[in-house]
Amino acid sequence: MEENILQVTDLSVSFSGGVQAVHGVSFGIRPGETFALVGESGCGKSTTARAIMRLIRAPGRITGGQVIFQDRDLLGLSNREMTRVRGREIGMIFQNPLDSLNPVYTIGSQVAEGLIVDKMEKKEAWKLAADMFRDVKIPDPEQRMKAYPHEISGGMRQRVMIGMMLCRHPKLLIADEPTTALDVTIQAGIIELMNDLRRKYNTAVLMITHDFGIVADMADRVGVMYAGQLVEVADVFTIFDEPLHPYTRLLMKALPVITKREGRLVTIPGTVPDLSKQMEGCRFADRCPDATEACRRSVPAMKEIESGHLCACHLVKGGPAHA
Amino acid sequence: MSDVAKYILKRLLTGVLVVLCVTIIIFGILQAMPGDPIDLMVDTRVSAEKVAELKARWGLDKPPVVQYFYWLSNICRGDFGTSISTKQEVLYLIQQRLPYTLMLTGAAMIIEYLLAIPLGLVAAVRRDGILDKFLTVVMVVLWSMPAFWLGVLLIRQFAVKNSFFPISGYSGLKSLVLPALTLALPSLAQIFRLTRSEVLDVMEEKHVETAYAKGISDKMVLVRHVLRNALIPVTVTFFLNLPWLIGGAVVVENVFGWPGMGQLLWKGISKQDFPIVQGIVFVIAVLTVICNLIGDIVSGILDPRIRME
Repeated sequence: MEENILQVTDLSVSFSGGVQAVHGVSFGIRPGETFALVGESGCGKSTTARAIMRLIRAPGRITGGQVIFQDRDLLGLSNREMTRVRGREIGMIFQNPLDSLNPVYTIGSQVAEGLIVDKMEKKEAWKLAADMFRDVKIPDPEQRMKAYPHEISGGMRQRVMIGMMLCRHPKLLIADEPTTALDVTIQAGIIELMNDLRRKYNTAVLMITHDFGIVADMADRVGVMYAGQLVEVADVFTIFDEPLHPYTRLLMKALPVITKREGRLVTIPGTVPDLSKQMEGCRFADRCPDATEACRRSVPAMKEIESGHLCACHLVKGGPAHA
Repeated sequence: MSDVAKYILKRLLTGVLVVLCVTIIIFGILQAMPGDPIDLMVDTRVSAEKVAELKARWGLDKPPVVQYFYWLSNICRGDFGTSISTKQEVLYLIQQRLPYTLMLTGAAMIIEYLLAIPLGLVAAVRRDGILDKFLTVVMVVLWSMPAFWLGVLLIRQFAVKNSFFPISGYSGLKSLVLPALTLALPSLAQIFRLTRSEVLDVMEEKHVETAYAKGISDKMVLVRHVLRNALIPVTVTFFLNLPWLIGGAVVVENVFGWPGMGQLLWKGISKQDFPIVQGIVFVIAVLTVICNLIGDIVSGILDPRIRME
């Protein structure tokens, strides 16, 4: 097996008031692979992504763990060194392309800015930016580059973002719900574009999403998060076909099946636990239909059930404990 | 025509319209005053025919609308009438004094902008730190000081006790320092507070996170992305506040015996010299419109979204 390009180990992030937004999350991403982190709103998936980029702002704080990227622990780097990693080695695109671009600069100059930071000549940077505009399939790049963000559509802006973050060929691209704010018709185009470009540049992608459609379209492997913890990791086929964790299983049941003509939408009863409270057992225990006494008493460890399939549940038997 | 040129032309036309409205208001106020100049001029013994003849000669028998256009055309030719108390042409009086007022407000403007924005930026970056708290307290104190009192304090400290600067009047650039500071400091506080809060607001915006994610250094993010955006409302407010600065100059000029328009206005008011008051009010109104215009144009240049409408 190839060595992971990114290895997150036991990552924890807290906010003020003792809210543990991310708690002991561990996963790895292989070069060129797309890893999807899924879960409902507030489960800590975006926070995990920001923690990897060290973009957590006060009052948030990374309280523990390691983020090894190409043999370096990003959490141990100085701010200056981290600045050099951002954009150049790890790119990141965000949920809302409408406010993710600076309104007072032309989109071309914003794409070129990153290249200029890499000590590239202005002219050359502009030329490369134009090439990138072609890559993200924006028609008439030389003209469009002179436009301001408010003059182009949301889908176009997300294309600009993708171009901006890929023009320096980072090894890893973090995409934080890149299509959530877009029209459904635009979404497909963006997903296709991301798929094309990640193959072209062999970029690993960490995809943050709550949309299983996107997971199916893009992901090689999937991590399911619940209440700040990673509960199951498996390749995409296994997650859909043989989910092990009760939460994942219920999630799969809750997916509406369009081919069925009737039936009700299935929901998971209960609500996400209050993360500011200290929890003893499994965080899903209160909503889990099969929860036992043991579930409420001790936190289940992540175990490798089968090769490449990890699950943190007392009820799922087998496999040795995983780091 | 480029976007910017079109925008500026549009604003200029609006500015001309506003000045026209101002002339109507000034003329209207004059009309609303009881009596007219002829009644004031002539003795009660002068016959009614003679008065009517005089009125006809001065055009006062015409309807107000016609009179307004006479008056407007005079103003357009720079004829603001003659001062009642000194018998000098109002235009001449204003011409003599305007440069001093512009010098004073200009200096105050520069002090204000160059101090308030860096300080506001520093306070925002060091939010809730000692420096931030200290600056905030200083600014509240400055903001609460009436200009005449601050002026007297400065005179006492730096002119009477130390004679670093002249006490009053104009005798070279050195005498500009104290009045300009007196004028600048109170409004500096406002621009400081606005800069601080705008910088804090912009820091929360998503595109700033994008800039960080792009690997832009903290300093460059702050200057190129945060400050650049925060400057839009700050600059607009700055220009919109300039008329207050000009108004404040009236007080400051009197404290420092500054030979500007404010002092002239003060004398005009106390001697009920209407042509002077009217002329100066008109000039201040035009300056106000020009300031707003510059503010609009500058904000259009700073913010591409405004140009589009």
